[in-house]
Amino acid sequence: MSSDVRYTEEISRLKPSVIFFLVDQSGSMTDPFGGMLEGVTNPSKAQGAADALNRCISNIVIRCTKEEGIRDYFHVGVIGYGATVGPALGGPLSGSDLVPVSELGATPLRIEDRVQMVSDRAGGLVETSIKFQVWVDPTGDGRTPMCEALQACKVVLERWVTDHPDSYPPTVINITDGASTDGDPRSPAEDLARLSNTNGSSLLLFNIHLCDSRVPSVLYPSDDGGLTDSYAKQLFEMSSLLPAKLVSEAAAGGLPVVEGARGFVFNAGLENLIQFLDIGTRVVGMADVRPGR
Amino acid sequence: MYTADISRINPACFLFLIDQTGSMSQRFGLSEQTKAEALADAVNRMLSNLVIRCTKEDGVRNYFHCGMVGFGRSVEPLGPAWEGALAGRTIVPISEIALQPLRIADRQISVADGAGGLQGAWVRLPTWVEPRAELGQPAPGHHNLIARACDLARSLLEPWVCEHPNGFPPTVVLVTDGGEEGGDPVEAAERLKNVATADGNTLLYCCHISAVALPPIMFPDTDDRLGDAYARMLFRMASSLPQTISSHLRSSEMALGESPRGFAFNADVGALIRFLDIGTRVADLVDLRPRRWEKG
Repeated sequence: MSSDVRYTEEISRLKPSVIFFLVDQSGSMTDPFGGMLEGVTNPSKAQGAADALNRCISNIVIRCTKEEGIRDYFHVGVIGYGATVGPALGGPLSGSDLVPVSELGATPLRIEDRVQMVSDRAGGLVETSIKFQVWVDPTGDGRTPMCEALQACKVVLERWVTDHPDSYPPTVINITDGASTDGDPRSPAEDLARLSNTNGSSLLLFNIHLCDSRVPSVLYPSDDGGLTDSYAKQLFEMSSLLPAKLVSEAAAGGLPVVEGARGFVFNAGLENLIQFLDIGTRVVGMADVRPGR
Repeated sequence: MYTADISRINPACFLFLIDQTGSMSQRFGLSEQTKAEALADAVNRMLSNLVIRCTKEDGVRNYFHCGMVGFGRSVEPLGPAWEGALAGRTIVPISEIALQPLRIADRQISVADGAGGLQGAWVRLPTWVEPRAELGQPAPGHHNLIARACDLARSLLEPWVCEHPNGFPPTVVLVTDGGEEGGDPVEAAERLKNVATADGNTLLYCCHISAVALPPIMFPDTDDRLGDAYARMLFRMASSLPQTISSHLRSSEMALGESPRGFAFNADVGALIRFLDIGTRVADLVDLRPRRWEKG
């Protein structure tokens, strides 16, 4: 029997975990992405990333919602990097670097009406508007200071890990469409991923690279043999191994994930991004926080 | 290619291959229906729409012929799926279909309430096919069902194209949840697509439905982003959308790549309905009434 207890920490209100997003907001993110999401056809990469991120945050809130309200199983943070580097939550939460999920659920920046076709319950479709909660607005300007973003994230999470030494370690998801412009991101990534809890479970850093072209995607690779691009190899090296539980959940969902797979996708389309966020934010010990229980 | 007019002399032919394996009795994602129920509803509604499109003052004109093949039931794992008066028939003119539904029942559906929301309304809807799926061990003879369904479709369409050598080529729509299937149907699909009229090869559309809460992939033009081996197989089986259809979709409904395939993966209820609608979109080549994409 394996005695490895890493990444098995139960998440509770006393021992919450962190889901942290780093979002590329450089100028190239305003280029088209393709695909369709929540009624928006062929959005920009910035719009696609923001939509997918907002949808993911909404799902996290739903997973933490019980009869009596939203339980603080998670703290959530978003840092944008482009013309500036800093917290990217909008509205009343702007400027906050880490927010309990109850506060997040209570204060979206706004709620949009999005038109969607849904089943009319007898084999037809009917147009209706759905409420779409927005916490982060799409934006894109300037270069890609990924190193600075990783360092800023570390400042926030170093403090948090000290305060929560027994919690499931933070999960950091980095969404980008280009190469770092302020140096080799491997070294600040390594510094960040060194944060760990008393079990020795290290912070998880997952990276997804968005691409609008017809280039084949590389999904959750376990080695860098299929990566020709040196920049792709950098991102691969920066990405944490998927914990066993996530490997089995992803495989059950039909993804080509093997043991040793990294939390990394290169040349992702919109569907890949949504899937990546879904898998990346599934955390162990969550059996009691699924909806409808 | 794929430009022939659809008329009573040269009708369009739609042949549906529908999964009736046990796994179809599972709940379809967040909907209150099983996969089999949602599929039967979608197929019945689509037939009803085709009937309406052919109905003129003088009756129902035979612009379309439709076939229904089911696969995966424990008794008779492969065969025609019509029921009632049409039981045992294969490809049937739309006028006969119009006259012989199994029943017409009151159903409550959701309609727009005019303010962005939905409200209930009762409508009378005809049923031709019932949801069929039986949980349990697959019976003997349940192997390579999709390949065999493709071969059966070919044997039904070969005589049909001989009778309509200049018509619009047949359209075959396969719907499966991938449940208990084994084998490699790609070759059988090739043989099926080689059944041709002067206007082109048979079009094969493949729709994979799933209760997994992942976004559906609709009409991709590459399998590079499909992780799953099963998905890649269905992608390879599926025909490219004819130019006439893809350019219409591109201009009015959705972003599509260069040469999108008639393929969907992880379709939910809405995506399935949309897929059947687009799969039978050639019905709009009949100049009958305002086209659905011209609303608004």
